[in-house]
Amino acid sequence: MSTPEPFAGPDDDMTLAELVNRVLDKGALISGDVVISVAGVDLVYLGLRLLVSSVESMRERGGWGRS
Amino acid sequence: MGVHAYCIIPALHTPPAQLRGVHDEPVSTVAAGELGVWVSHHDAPPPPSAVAARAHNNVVRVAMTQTLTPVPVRFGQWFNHDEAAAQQVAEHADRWLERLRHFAGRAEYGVRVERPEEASSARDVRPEPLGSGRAYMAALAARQAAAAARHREAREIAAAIGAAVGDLVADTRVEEPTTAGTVLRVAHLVAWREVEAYHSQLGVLPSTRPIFRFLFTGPWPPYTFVS
Repeated sequence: MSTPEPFAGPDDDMTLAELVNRVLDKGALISGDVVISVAGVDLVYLGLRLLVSSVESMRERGGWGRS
Repeated sequence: MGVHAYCIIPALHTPPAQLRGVHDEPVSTVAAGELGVWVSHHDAPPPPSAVAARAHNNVVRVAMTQTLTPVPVRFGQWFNHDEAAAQQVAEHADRWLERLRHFAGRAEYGVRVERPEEASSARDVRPEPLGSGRAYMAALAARQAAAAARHREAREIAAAIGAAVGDLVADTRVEEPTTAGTVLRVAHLVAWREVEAYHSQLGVLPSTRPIFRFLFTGPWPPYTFVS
């Protein structure tokens, strides 16, 4: 069965902002940790406490967890 | 190879054979008891981008039907192998099953309220760093007063939106973002059968508040209602 068509056009800038906000900031955290590689340079670590850190500062604290 | 996760769904609901996800990789199911998680396999965690976010969301949208709505997974959930993903999903199976029951037959819709002329907002009133102590305190007081006014305004609009949609929505989340120009973000969980009435009720709001810009979006997988 199909679902209704989108309310707003997918190319609209604000709709893109809404999409990015949902996909990157909401949704289930299965393991409690999210590891995101930014532009192949830094890693942003988002834990349940929304701790954000660069890869260097994470190393200084002894690394990060992955599942 | 590692695993990028898209959504949690009953195990019997498998992805279409040709479905492609982030980086155009094929999407498959990892079974976790009576649940499954839709995944794609990659050499490294996919970096976030608008294209990747769209691809991620598209996979979750494909999983949605009129009767079944998956639990969407946040972009960036990465596992070293399928077994790790299955184990983590199974560990909280009761929680995911409860969410699946809550989401069934429903989708998320969004209302974003913008104020184009943001010049009078609290965030544009800055204390004068080199002024007198009195001027500094006056600027701080002005900023706090503007922030309070902005909060009242946001609450008033949120109440108007809530009154408009009434019991057409099954669940609601309200945020007051700190992003300049954005007054309010509201997410609604709406049954498919109520969508037409929901749109109709919201459609009258922009004309009653012409200084604001209303953006209505959806349907979305229910990212905002997972927790």
